[in-house]
Amino acid sequence: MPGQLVLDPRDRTTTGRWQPSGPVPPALRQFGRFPDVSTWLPGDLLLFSALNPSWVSQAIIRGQERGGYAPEDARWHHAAVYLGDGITVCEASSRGVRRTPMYHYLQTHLLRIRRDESLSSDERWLIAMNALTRLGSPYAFGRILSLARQAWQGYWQPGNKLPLIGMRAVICSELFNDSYSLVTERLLVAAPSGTVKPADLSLTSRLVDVETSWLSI
Amino acid sequence: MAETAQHEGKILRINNAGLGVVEDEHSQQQFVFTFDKIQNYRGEEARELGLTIGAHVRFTATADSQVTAVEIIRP
Repeated sequence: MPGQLVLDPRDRTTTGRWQPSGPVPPALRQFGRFPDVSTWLPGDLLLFSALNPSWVSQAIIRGQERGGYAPEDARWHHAAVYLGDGITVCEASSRGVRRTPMYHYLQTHLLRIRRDESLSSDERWLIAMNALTRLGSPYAFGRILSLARQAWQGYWQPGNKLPLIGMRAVICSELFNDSYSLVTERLLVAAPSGTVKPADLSLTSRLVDVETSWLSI
Repeated sequence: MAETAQHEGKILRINNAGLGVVEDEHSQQQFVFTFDKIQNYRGEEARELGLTIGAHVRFTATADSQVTAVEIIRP
């Protein structure tokens, strides 16, 4: 399997210039770099791994490692769907499903872009649209607790299924996974535990990494 | 027309966007389906259909794992 293609905020190499079309956070201007999104497509998966993870992110990473994932997959603790406008992603965070600029991740997180190359342009847009239909859905805190409990037993254990509560609530990796499956009617990940985690989206060979470089601002 | 096979299994996950995941009771293989594959589906929500986690369903799927029909046997 080829290595992961990762955009690292510590990498100062740039391949061109990015001209913001509107106001951007001063901290981003100070950082001085923006991803070359010309290679990205709507409906792409974005995976994030914090350079200095919060305790919540650390708990997800440790849970995924304890549950049986390799460190290079377990380190991805957050996922989002790229909406195709050069700036915005749809994500499930503790504040629920929301549409947000990706600015605040760029200086502090490793970033990885993945996609199913067999999809048509229409299918890609539909993935983005399906994610947007879930705007305002609450975050599935209960499922995170269940996942943590399962991690102790190992995600590989047969019969180690989650008691899933609340169809409306969603976690970040399910937002992409379910949007993908609604469009393609294909299972992206057969997670033994029943719930798709960011590490599953890192691991699946149905998606391939998209090479991305930095542009200077 | 693609060849299909009959399966029975339990609902592993559903969401309110109209997506379900079912696990074959024999092979433990997972399949994904959209609610429009449920017989006589007319836009109802999962709970109105009796589609719950653990519900027993009969379903058909093609060789490449595309579910073509779902019948709820026991909610």
